[in-house]
Amino acid sequence: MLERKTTKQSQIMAFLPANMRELCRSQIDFEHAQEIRVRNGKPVVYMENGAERTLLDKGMPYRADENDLREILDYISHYSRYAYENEMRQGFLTVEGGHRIGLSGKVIVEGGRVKNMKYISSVNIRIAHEVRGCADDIFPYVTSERQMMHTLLIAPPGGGKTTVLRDMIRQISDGNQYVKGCTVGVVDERSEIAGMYLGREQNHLGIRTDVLDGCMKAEGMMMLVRSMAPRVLAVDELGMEEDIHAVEYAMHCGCKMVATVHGTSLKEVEEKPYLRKLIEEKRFERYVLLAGPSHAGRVEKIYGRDKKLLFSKQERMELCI
Amino acid sequence: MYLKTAGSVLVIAASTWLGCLMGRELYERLDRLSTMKRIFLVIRQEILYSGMPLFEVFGNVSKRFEDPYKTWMLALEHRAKERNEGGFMEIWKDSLYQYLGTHGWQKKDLETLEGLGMEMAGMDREELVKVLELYIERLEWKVEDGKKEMGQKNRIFRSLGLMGGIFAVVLLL
Repeated sequence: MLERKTTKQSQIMAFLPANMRELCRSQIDFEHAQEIRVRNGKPVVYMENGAERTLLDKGMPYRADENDLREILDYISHYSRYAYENEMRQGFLTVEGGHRIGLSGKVIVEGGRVKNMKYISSVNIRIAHEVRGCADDIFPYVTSERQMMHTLLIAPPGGGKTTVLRDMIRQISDGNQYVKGCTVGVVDERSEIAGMYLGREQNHLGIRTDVLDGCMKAEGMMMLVRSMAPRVLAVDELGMEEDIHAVEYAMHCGCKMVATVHGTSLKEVEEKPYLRKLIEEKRFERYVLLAGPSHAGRVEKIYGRDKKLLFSKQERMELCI
Repeated sequence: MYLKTAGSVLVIAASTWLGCLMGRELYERLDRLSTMKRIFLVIRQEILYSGMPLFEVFGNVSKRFEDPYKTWMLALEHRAKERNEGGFMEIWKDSLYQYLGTHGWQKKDLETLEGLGMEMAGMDREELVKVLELYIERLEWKVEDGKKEMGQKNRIFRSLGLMGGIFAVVLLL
């Protein structure tokens, strides 16, 4: 078995090329870095605390070359690209620690579908950050008699939906003062929630959580409901028609849904063709609106089933619980 | 008289035995090539049906074979897992010579296997399985050729050993 690397730095160093390791170790604060971008023939840049910086080598920008990219790919795949064909086809791999490596290069198309990717020209290392407790403020509003309500988290890209969802899953699974610990099923289509690596969760999702990793949402929800009997079902980024049908099915089966969707307001989400039906039928009991990227994860508003405002950060008032 | 006869018999026996030993070396070479062919077959099956990364494949395969192959596979597993050594080609080549070169494997046979290291890391499953099949076929040919030659060469070595012994006796007497 692989020994688990305990720090973000050691996890990411494990797949950086030898030329870059010492430079990254001395310049990047991995606890506050969001991503590192390595492009063939271009300076290596990284985001730290929201600001873009360039990796320097003796005062000059360090330019990556194809050997660096080949080495990164060898390391993240453990010299076994064949074992990660599905992930490469989707354009990303998840590594130990739940960090996602996005790939870009020449795509091989066969029969109208992406078969593989060769000649990788750039790599985006997105550093995972688990924020425990970021969902604490939500629970008083989304629970009743120690049970979860059907909840929809709404936020724009970079708004912290996945991070908040992850913390909610953990707390529901383990239980807290607002909700009794229960079985949670998670459909982790893009391996972002659990960050599964070689069958192991890299993020903490609680003791009663079952994860279906890399599976399409609609099919995954059906599979979990039939096989794992979850009390709560969690999915990230609802959007397609089949996702909505699967949500309806799960609700009919007695599962409580906790889901996320892209949007900047409840009104915008109502205009999405497939979600409108669920909202009009008052299937969701709570809508939690998160702030944008500048205040990722912050709860802005919480609405009830009939769209009544229950909480507003801006007005700092609690209207109703 | 009796001593001379006994001595002659011993010299002839010893030289014939040396001839047989050289024939035995041929047999052991074929055995090594056959074992390597079985190893590649197992690796091919693991890659085709499990899709596990190479370090897991080597770890699994090592359980089915004895030393030196077991130690060689375990070393590959460890070095592929650690990922501190640049390309897979270097790992493969170094471990071949370190663990097999010291156990009777001839340089020409190791050179046949070296090239596989360069190809293993970067291929998709289909290509890798085809390359493994190519190496398995190559090893099969070597074994078949070796078997054909073995009978003939064994006879030659035994005869040379016997003749050499008789020649030595004649010289000594």
